[in-house]
Amino acid sequence: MGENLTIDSTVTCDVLVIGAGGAGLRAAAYIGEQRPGTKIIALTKVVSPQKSHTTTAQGGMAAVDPKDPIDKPIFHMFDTWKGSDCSADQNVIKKVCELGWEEMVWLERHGMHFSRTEEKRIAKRPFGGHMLNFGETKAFRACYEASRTGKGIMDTVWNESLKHGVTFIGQCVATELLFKEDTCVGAIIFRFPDGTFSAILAKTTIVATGGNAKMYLVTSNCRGNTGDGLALTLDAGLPVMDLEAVQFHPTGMVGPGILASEALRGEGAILRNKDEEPFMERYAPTAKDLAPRDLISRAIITEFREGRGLFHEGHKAHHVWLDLRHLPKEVHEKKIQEVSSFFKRFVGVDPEKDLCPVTPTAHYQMGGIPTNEFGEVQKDPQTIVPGLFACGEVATASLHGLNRLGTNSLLELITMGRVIGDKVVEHLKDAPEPEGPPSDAGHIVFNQFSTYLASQGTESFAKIRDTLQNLMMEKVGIFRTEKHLLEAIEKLKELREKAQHIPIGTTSLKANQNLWQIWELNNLITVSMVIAHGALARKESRGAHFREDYPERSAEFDYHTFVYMPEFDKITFGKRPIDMSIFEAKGEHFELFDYIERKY
Amino acid sequence: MENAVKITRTESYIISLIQKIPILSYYAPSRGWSFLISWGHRLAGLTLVGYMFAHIYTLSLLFHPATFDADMRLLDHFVFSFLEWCVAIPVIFHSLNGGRLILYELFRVRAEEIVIRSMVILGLLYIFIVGFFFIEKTQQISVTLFWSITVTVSLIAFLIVLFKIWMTGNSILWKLQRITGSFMFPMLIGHMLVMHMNYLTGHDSKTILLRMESPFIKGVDFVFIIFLLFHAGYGVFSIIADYIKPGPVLKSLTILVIIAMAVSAYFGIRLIVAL
Amino acid sequence: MPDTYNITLEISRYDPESHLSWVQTYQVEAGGILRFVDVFRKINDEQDPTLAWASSCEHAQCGSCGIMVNGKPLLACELLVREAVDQFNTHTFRIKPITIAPVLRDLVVDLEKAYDRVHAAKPYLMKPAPAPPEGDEYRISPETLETYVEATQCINCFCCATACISSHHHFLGPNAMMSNIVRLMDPRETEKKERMDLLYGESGVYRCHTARACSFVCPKEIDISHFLALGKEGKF
Ligand SMILES: Cc1cc2nc3c(=O)[nH]c(=O)nc-3n(C[C@H](O)[C@H](O)[C@H](O)COP(=O)(O)OP(=O)(O)OC[C@H]3O[C@@H](n4cnc5c(N)ncnc54)[C@H](O)[C@@H]3O)c2cc1C
Ligand code: HEM
Ligand code: HEM
Ligand code: SF4
Ligand code: F3S
Ligand code: FES
Repeated sequence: MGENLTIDSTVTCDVLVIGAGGAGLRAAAYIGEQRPGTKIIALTKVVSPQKSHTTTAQGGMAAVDPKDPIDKPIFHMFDTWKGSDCSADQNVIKKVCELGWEEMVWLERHGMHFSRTEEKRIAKRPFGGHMLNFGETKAFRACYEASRTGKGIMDTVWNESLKHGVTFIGQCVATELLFKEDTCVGAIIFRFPDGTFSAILAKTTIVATGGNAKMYLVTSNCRGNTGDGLALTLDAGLPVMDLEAVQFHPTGMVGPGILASEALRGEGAILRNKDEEPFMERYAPTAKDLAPRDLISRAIITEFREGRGLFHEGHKAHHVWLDLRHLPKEVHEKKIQEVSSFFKRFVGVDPEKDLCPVTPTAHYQMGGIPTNEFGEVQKDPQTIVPGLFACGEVATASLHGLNRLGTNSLLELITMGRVIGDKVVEHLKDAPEPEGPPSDAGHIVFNQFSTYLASQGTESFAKIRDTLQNLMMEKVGIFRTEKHLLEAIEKLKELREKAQHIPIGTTSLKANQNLWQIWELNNLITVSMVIAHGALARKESRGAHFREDYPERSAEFDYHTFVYMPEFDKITFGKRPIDMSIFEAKGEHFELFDYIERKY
Repeated sequence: MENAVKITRTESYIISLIQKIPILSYYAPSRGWSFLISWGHRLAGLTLVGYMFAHIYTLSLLFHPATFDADMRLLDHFVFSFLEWCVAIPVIFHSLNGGRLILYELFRVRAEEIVIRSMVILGLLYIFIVGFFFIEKTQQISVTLFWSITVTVSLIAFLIVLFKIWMTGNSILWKLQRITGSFMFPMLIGHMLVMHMNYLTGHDSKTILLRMESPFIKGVDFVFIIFLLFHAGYGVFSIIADYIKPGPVLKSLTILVIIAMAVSAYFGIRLIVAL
Repeated sequence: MPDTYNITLEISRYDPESHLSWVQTYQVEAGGILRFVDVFRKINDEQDPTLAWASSCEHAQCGSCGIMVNGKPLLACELLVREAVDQFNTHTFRIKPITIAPVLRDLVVDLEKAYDRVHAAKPYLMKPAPAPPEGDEYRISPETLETYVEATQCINCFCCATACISSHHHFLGPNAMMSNIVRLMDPRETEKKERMDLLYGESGVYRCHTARACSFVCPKEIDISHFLALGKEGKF
């Protein structure tokens, strides 16, 4: 069977968007709007872009109105810098924070249904790590649509893309990037419904495949967040950056890890331990429950370790309480109604009356495909790959450094999507028509697929997946040590080998869920390997990356980690300096943008 | 809205009994009662269309009173009498539910629990009253007075709905269906009632012929049949249009419906004019 | 285990290669807190890797996982085993794909085709009102928003369309129609005429007979029939 896999059709277009989520479609909508007639194809694993993971984002999107009498963009920049533990790039911070409000207005004018204030304006709520006057008091900065901000954003960019004639191809995966002499010329896609391969040739390719936290047992991520985009990039011999920075959100619902948005704490919810003590007062006396996520997640694990956690019988898991009982009825019913209902439905508690059990959940990948401030993918810190862009969670410009503040991700999707759109429109002016596919097109994916399809092994898919998820959770999770990381790397090699020997349920290519999942599992193992290696190499603690054996931040590691892994476990490292342009410009308050201490 | 209707214990007992019927036990918990009521409305409408054709055919026998009376005598057999009484069920159900739909769609009456409860009670009452008159056969009421009142009420219903929807962007035919429906609401309920109250007015050719000489009754019947045929025609079309995409097939079927209604109109109106 | 249930799933299967359809019975021992998606995963892991089913977010936010359980269209990721046993008062569940689009394999349907209906309803602002004089965002009062915000929660799971009395043919369907109505109610939309034409077109709101199954099954608890009735009332 495997031998006769072929490319069934070839399609050409101007722009190929791999991953029609919030980021990818913001770029597509911008290009469609600015350059009518551009042929844009947007791919997604799900049936419609509307079902992309951005839809599940709840809390809000940060943006400061430059005309705001109280809040200032510079405060936002400072918070982002501080939140990143001094590892974000300041050129990107400046660009994104300054563009934010304009993009917010764009969303609103294109139909997003933001919640409103009595003054009929966009409503805002506070969020972790966002403060006024360089860390004094909490800022109302997260613009929101009840507890479905991500849905509002996703619907808007999907709608606008639809309006501008973007072609959507759902239920497909991009399986391989295509290159001609270093220039990216498109990708091979595999379609689920009919099991066909197509080569899509494009003048520009944008990778926007979103997050990848599915290698963790407890995660807020969706079924399809399996690191495909990162695996494709690595397979192509290109680097990824800072993957060791995995954010654990402190409040996942015990059990599946469904997210209980930070907006809850923004509205005043309080974390309590076994003795119902509001323990965050001890760890972060000023910010308390609105301290950054990494800090709270570690605080919770520390509570567990010191015996002040609780144990959930039904799910066999440790947890602490999230207390929402004191919030006004109005808040329960209007502002957080959706999240409240999750607790009722999936955990069986009523947040108005009961304490809610929560536990840290793998949530966000700060690292990703390295790009410059225009979203152009880098081959090394000095060189870009012509024709290839990346944005959204899969990319790293880097706005978040090693730790992201809540609501900054949606902001990044939208602003960077637009920045890329701008660059692409420029790029399209003199980009040549794509000719035919490269002669070796498909060699990577056909190799992989024929292995999976021909496998007669006896390994169990479920067992490999479960082992991987437990391994990553325990050894490459919130607290890391050299010993654990080395063990994890050894185990990952073993899992990778086993994953080549999973018996296939059916060799039909049509709607073969089994095949699709085995491919995804391999991507997860690939990405896990890079995370583990990155974590091993960074012998310091910074942002979300915490090494118990090196608990302090170290100036020695003031750089971004580049990792190349063209073949499994063939790792080479590189370094990219952190951009300090705000500090170096010596403007007002520049001293705050030095390597400062991070305390809340 | 996960059917948040509060029901009493008696009601839930009755519902649990009704739900023993297989088709109901499948659809009631999976689609809700409104869904079943909608199917009921559709089936009742179609039954009435069928009845209407038969009815107009029988009435056209009035040109030969002897045949008519012979035919009507058949109805005295208890099986047919019973069936005739059964017609009250689709009549009152379709009428009341049509009223409910008009209230929901056009007058924003969203208190469905109250409306449906009232429907059930009024419907049962009506069916028993018709049955009672049927058996008694001895009441007397002035036909002119009865129709004067009924027509007045019908006109009021007609005008309210007319003013409510005439200016909306809905298609004229659709609007007319609601308007004719609201006019027929008192008319049809009354028609069936009076035909059994004064039993002879409905079943004896001499009485019928005598009564139909009155220009007033002629007028009433005329409006009634026009409205009814339009309503029934559009109703049947609307069902067909749910299943068949706009195109030649739908067009041919629509023409068929129009012909059927036109033929009925010819026979019905000829009767009114000629007698 | 605090609560486990022995449940029987009778699942409709379809193989696109041979075009065969059949019903397959699976016995599963499942914890009461498992969602139906977890149960399917369990079947994949322990009994049959080929059973295909769809999901994405797995917490009722994306609308990828619609199926029919004992005739009722619902989200597989939202139904817990314990609740299913209570709600349907049985331990045997007949599971079928939703009927609004062709089946690809087993419980997976080609929702891309169903989405064509939503696309036809043009869910975007066709002609946004000109920028407000004060600059920035449009001013919309919370009260105005309140009149239609419920309808904006729709995730296009097509449960309503599956349940509806007439949307299997050429009615655009409750959800698509509602997205048109939302924009008619949205103060920012100025293209009312084309929207009205869509509303009162042959595939429009006349095909709705207020059967209200849509509102009955909607997992987001949207009273869809209310919005469709507003469409018939026609005052925007
Ligand atoms: C539960 C939750 C709540 C969140 N809340 C917030 C919040 O309140 N504020 C905030 O700022 N951020 C929040 N985030 C983070 C934020 O939502 C995500 O980072 C962001 O949505 C990612 O968007 P994206 O466009 O990069 O990717 P996605 O929206 O995930 O889109 C990725 C797209 O790529 C497609 N794809 C993936 N792989 C392939 C492939 N191989 N081939 C083809 N297509 C592919 C997918 O199908 C999808 O369409 C939250 C995240 C989660 C999980
Ligand atoms: C007495 C008062 C009546 C009222 C208030 C009334 C009302 C209505 C209404 C509102 C509808 C629209 C339902 C919809 O589209 O969902 C309708 C449909 C219909 N009516 Fe009537 N009606 C009445 C009498 C009749 C009679 C006497 C007949 C038959 C001869 C009839 C036949 C039909 C048919 C066939 C339909 C189509 C049903 C469907 O689309 O499912 N109606 N009626
Ligand atoms: C079973 C009970 C019914 C009886 C006994 C009955 C009897 C009659 C009689 C005797 C007439 C002659 C005209 C008159 O006297 O005014 C008549 C006319 C009429 N009936 Fe009925 N009817 C019944 C039910 C219905 C129903 C259910 C409908 C609607 C579907 C209906 C529709 C009409 C119409 C439209 C006319 C006028 C006919 C014409 O002008 O030719 N009747 N009915
Ligand atoms: S209206 Fe409700 S049932 Fe219908 S598609 Fe939207 S969310 Fe699903
Ligand atoms: S079920 Fe269908 S008929 Fe109308 S009220 Fe809902 S769309
Ligand atoms: S998987 Fe997203 S709604 Fe069920």
